[in-house]
Amino acid sequence: MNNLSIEIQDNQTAFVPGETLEGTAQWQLNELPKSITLNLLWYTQGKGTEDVGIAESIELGNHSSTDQQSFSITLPNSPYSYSGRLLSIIWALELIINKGDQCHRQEITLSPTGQEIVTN
Amino acid sequence: MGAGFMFFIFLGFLKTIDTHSWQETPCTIQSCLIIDDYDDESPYAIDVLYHYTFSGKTYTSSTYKYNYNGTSDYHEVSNLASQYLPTTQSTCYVNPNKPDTAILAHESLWTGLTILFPLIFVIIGGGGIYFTWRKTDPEKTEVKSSKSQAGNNRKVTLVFFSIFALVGLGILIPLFIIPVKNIISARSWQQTPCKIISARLQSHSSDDGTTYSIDILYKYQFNNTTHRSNRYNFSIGSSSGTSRKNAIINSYRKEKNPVCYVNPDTPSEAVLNRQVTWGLLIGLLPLAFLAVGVIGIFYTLRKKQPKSKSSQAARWHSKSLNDTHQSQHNSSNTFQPHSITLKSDSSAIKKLLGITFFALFWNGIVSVFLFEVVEGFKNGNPDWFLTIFMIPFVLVGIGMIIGVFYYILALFNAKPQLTLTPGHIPIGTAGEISWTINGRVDSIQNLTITLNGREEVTYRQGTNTRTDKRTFYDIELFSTDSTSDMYTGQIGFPIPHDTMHSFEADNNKIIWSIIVKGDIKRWPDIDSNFTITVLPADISQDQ
Repeated sequence: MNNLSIEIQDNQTAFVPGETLEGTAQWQLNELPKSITLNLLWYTQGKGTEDVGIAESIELGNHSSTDQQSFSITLPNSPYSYSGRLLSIIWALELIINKGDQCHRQEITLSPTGQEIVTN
Repeated sequence: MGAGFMFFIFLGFLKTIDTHSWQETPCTIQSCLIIDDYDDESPYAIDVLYHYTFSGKTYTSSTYKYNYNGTSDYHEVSNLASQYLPTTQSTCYVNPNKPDTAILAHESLWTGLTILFPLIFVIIGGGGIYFTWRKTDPEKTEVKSSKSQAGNNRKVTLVFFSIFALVGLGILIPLFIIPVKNIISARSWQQTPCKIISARLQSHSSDDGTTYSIDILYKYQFNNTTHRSNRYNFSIGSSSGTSRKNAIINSYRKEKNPVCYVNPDTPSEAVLNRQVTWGLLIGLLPLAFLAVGVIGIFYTLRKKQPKSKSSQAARWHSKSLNDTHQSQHNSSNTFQPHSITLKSDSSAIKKLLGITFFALFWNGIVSVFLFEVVEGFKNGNPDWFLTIFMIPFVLVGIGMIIGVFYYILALFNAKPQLTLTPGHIPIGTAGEISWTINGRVDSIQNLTITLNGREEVTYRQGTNTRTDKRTFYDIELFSTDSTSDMYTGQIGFPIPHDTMHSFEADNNKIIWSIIVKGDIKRWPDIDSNFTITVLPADISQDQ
């Protein structure tokens, strides 16, 4: 059975723009992976067709089947996490094995107030 | 139903394929006559008799082709008759399992393509049933690679629009391009006296009703050889309405010295009327399918795919927020224009050109059917179904014509010019707009300037692409009835600290704009939209 997880330091999930996000990516796989990638991305949700933007992408070099690796990412200024009536913008960390065979996502919030901007 | 039609077409096609395996055998033509009263729908056919020897026994057959139904083109049967002259040798195809059954020519295997038409309905129906009833594994669908999802959608969209374009082109070629090509070639054909043998109105029955075409059989001499033809003009197909057709038929019956135009390279080809006719316009209808397909393919390919993760990041940052990203690392070098002149989102001329194009396109197609409706009423045989069916289309066409005049009048409206300071406004700060209105300001009864924030999302609904909008912020900045205050002015406004900045992705946007509205009596109002950029809060100031 495969297990993937992302642990953020101090279990923090709310961040302000420009803040540094530190954490650890862990994986436990049945086979040796060809690639392990950690993405910081935003995506839209709602009535419109989904858009995705990858702000940062880190190749985790160690390809053991079971391991963990720390990471540190400086968060960008924008876009803010947002919740409206037609669309939402959500930030997440995504751990990807073999370019999409398996995936684990951990959502975070990015905004000056630490909470998503709401215009409902 | 699609599967049912496919089944029957397939059964018929199997028989056609079977005849292609019959044994090729020499035969002798005994007689070949042209019948000119074969069938109401296809009055011309060949009646051929031939004999052949198979396994030592002699047989006689009169079958030209499996499922032969004659034709409405006299030139076609004339060519066949010249191929199968009496006492000449030819080749027939004998059923080895039943040697008394033979044919002279095979039916084309291209008829098998007709199975594709009901196949479309089978795919749509089957696909709909599958996707409705299939169970999805929540664990597997929780996270899916967005890049592969976008790629699959793109492929499906490209296939869809390609089918549209191919169907449009496939119908446009025989209905319009080939007839126009023939009309141009016929300009060099030789005018030749001819004699009218028969002239009649040929009817064609279908589920949608009866249509009619002109069938005039004539003969002429060219290079000491007598030929016959029944081609009236180069349009193909038939249409409703009989009065105009009957008038043409009557005129040829009475014509003392009729002339036709003969192809000097192929004298068996001739035509009575080599002019462009109104019926040819129907051939332009498939242009709509071709245009939809080509435009759809163009915009689908133009829409950039996320090529690589690093380039995706670069693309996002370059979308007008690069200044902010740079300020995060080096605030002293932050670029922000002091002020900018705002541009209206859509110009009056572009709107006028757009609606004029659609009005011409729409009314051009509608006019063809409207012509048939009017013809039906004129000859006392109105097609009520077509008349009622056309009402909404005609109303839309009239609306478009009114729209064209509306936008022509709007060209003469006063035009606002706006300057925004600073050029990009961070959240939680203030901006200022100054305006000047040029033109007939005295005709404006009330002028308002509004700051507007809205969400815009685009999505597909069936075959349509829809865009929904929702305003989340709308504050009036300025309003006046006084003409002297309208010419020029300036006003400051804050951007709230707890709102969302401008955002633009392919399908989802948050747009801030300054909207200038001017009410004008008995004239198109002024309604100009100027997009502005609201930046994320300037974090360097907070630090």
